[in-house]
Parts: sequence; C-alpha cells; structure tokens
Amino acid sequence: MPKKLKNALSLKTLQQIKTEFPIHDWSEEELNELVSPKYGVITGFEEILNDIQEIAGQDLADIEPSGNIKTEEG
Amino acid sequence: MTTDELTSKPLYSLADLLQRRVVSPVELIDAFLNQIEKTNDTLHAYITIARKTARQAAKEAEIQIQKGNYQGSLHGIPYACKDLFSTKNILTTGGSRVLADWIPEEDAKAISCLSAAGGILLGKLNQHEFAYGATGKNEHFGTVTNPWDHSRLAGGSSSGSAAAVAAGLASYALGTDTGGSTRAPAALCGVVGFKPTYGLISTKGIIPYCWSLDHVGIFSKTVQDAAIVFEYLTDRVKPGRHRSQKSNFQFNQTPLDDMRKVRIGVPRTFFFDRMDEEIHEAVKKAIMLCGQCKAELIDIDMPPMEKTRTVSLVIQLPEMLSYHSRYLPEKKDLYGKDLCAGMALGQFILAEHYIRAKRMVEWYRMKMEESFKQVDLIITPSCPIIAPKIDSDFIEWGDKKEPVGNAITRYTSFFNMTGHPAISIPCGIHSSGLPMGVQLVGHHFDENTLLKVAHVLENSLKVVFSEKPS
Repeated sequence: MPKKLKNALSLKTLQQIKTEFPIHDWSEEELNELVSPKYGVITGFEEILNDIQEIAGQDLADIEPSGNIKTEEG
Repeated sequence: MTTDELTSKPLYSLADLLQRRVVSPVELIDAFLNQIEKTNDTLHAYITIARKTARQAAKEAEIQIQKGNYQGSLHGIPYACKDLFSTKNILTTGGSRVLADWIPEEDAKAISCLSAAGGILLGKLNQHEFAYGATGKNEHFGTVTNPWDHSRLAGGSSSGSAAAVAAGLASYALGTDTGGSTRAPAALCGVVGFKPTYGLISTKGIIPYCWSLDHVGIFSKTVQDAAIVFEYLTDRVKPGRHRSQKSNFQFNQTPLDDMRKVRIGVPRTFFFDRMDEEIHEAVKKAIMLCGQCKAELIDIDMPPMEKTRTVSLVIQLPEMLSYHSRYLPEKKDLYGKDLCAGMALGQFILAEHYIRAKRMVEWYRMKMEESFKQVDLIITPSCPIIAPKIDSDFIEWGDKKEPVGNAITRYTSFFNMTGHPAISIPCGIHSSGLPMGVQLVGHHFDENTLLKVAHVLENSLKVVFSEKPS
C-alpha cells in the first residue's frame, strides 16, 4: 500500500512540475491555494493526496470504472 | 389577487387558476416580473431577465387558453433556469465572464421540453461560476443572498434557482446537481430540491461541470410541483395531455395516504456526525413521523463514507479542467480565483487516481445495491448546517475546520456518485429563523416511490414559515 506523504506538499514542488510538464500556466496564487487553501471550496491538495493513498490500499479486484446507471433491462 | 399572493402559490395551484381562467398568463407573468423588479437587486438571483419574450409568450398562452386549448399543468406557468442551460437567443453565461456575450442558437433539451409544454421562461439564474463550488459566491454577478437572511449564503451551486423559488421570483426553477447543488441550496432556502436518477433527464445543451456526476435538478415549493415538472422533463407527457397513459409514474393517480409497506433505511454512521444540533433534532423528528406514518424503519450500514468527498473531487476537477481547457489559453484571466485553483488541482490529479476514483464509484454503487435490498428509501439530513454567513469560508467543529463548500454538500455528494434519485424537503425552522432540510434517497429509476413518500412526509411535517422571505 502506498504510504502517506512524508513531507508536506510545497508550492515549490508544484512550481517545479509546472516548469517541467506541458500544463496550463497556473499563477503562484492559484498554486498556493492548493497548498494553503483559503477560498473555502477545496481542502488542501496534500489532504486529498493522503486520502487517495488510503483509498489506493483497497483491493478493487476486477471492478471496472463506473459508467451509466443500468436499468433492470440492462 | 395581489403579486404577493400569486407568487407565493405552488405551481399546481397556479395551474388550476390558469385552467379555470381565474388568472390569465399575462397577469401571472406580470406578478412574477414585479416581484423580480422589487427584490432582485438584493437577492442577485437573476443574471438575465427575459421580460420581452416572457410577456410575449404569456400573451400567446392567454390566447390559446381563451380558445380552450389548455395544454396541461405547465401551460402559462413562469419558470426560470440556472444560467448553465443553453437558451436560444438568450444570453447564457454559466455565471462567468468567460461567456459574457454567448447567445446560443438552440435550447437545452430540458428547456425544449418545458417550452413544448407551454412553460414560460422568465430568465436566467445566478450560480457559482460554471457550477464549481457550493457556496454560490460569484465575484462577477454578485453573490446570491439567502431570502431568509440577506447576510447569509443561499448555497450553491444553483444559488439563484433556490433563492428565486423561495422568494417568489419564479414558480419553479431548474438547476443542476453534481455534488448536491440542487438539494443543498434547496435545504438552506426552505424549498424542495429534487434530482432524479443519473441520466434520466437529458443534460444535452447544459454547460458541463463534470459529465460523470452532473444531474438536472428541479426546485419547487412543494413535492407535488416537483413531480409535475419531472414528468414533463422525462418526456412522459405529450403536449395537450396531462399525463401519458404509458407512464409508470403516477404521482396523482395513486397517492399514498401513509407509508404502509415502505421500508426506510436510517444510516448508522456518518450522516449524523458533526452537525448542527437543531438540524439533528429536526431530522430525528422527521424519521419519527415516518414511523408514525407506518413506515418500517431499519438501521442500515452504508459503505465507508469518510473518503467519498475526495473520490468525488478526484473525478470532478480533472473533468472540469478538461472541458474548460478550450477557453484557458485565451480567457484564463476571466475566471474566478477559486475556480482557477480548482482547475489547477485537477491538473495535478494523476490518471491512475482518476480511474481509481471511477472504480470506487462502481464499488459504492455495488455496495448501495446491497443496502437497497433491505429498504425502499434512505433518510438523512440534507445539510449539516444552516445557511452560513456570506463572509464565512470555513465551519469550525471543535478544533477542526471544514471548508464551507464541503460542509454544505457533505450529505449529498455521495448520491451523485451512486446516481440514486434524491430529494430535499424542508423539515423545520431553526431558532435562527432559517430553514432546515431532510433528504430522502430512492432506488434507481423509482422516482415514483420517492416522490410519493416525500409528499406524505411533507404533509406530516407541516412546516409553515411564519413570514414570507424577501
């Protein structure tokens, strides 16, 4: 099972990714919201990553990604 | 009849007045337009008011009804929709400056259904920008205020829809619901908020937020009103007829007097943790009333809920980013700060995380199928808090802080992942004078049982607001 993040996610890490990956041009303020959220909409990215790591510990066997809701007739 | 009297009546009552020609569609449209004129500057519920086209449509409806061509329950009834719905020849902004001048060439499918039934569109309602966020805060068009207390939020993302129906600025309204954006603001504003089974009402022509979780939502004053609108949106009613004979949805034909033979599940965990004590008591009372109405109450286990919000976000944010990447190169500066941060977060979610979240959703659905073998419905609070103050960003629970948006949708977002139909109805009035809501959740595609039981509960609760919101 993947382990909990050892170090707090830093703005520097996200900025580094921004310079090395082909992604949109996020500002420092936008990236900072991921590290120290203040708008009241999202929890910090670090908390989400830790949750993801915990979820990753669950064996989902051969369950497929979700699609449409199936009726009784399929 | 005065403007206040007309605009506070439920849809089914207005339909009766129109059919009997006690009131004309033009009188009705003018009453709602007057109400909008009086209060929209304070509420910020409407982004666009379609005065001219609405009055024109009302005149046409009046001629038809006078000729004896009454088309059914929605004929001549004024409604409004969230600004996420495309509307032909009417500005559609998505609550954003990004689409400040977009005039669609076609109506969204849901709007077409209502037009075919004779519904009259009053205008486009304010919202959290592009449906991102449950607070309804909007830096471009103003934050929608709660009609019961203008220093508080209406909730979101369909903030304008909830406030408009509560304050009598529309007979009913359409919204969307991706994590609770219909049910939660409905609870905070004291109206009914209903999202049918995922995929049952077409989202064609609605600006997407998250394809995997987006549902169409209905806001109304009563459960019966929501049932009427639902029938038309699912194409079950043909124009000129009240109800399709083929429909298996028969809300009015076989109403329930009580909840005999209905099994209602009460979750053992999660849904009653960390919440306002008065809301807890109100929901307990609602559960007790279900028992008094002869429902069988069964304690049920739910899947582990603690990480469900994260699972939902891991799907929402990359999908949102994917859609908006078409605008980002040219218009990124026009987006709100919170939305940009959400998209940035979506950028850093790995593909493996996204796929795992989608598999978790399938697992949740399988688990809920097991739970639903024991029960016909599940009952929970709609929202753990009353409408928060406009300037609040976090809710404090002892030494823990929860983002306001997370708190507002804590009890609703799970059922967007599982796709079950769910409804929020008012269940009481808090000592602060603000509304509280209870949520009922049904089996996939069994809106029939859900709405009928919600109707019985609504009648049993007898929530009467002592004052009219403004």
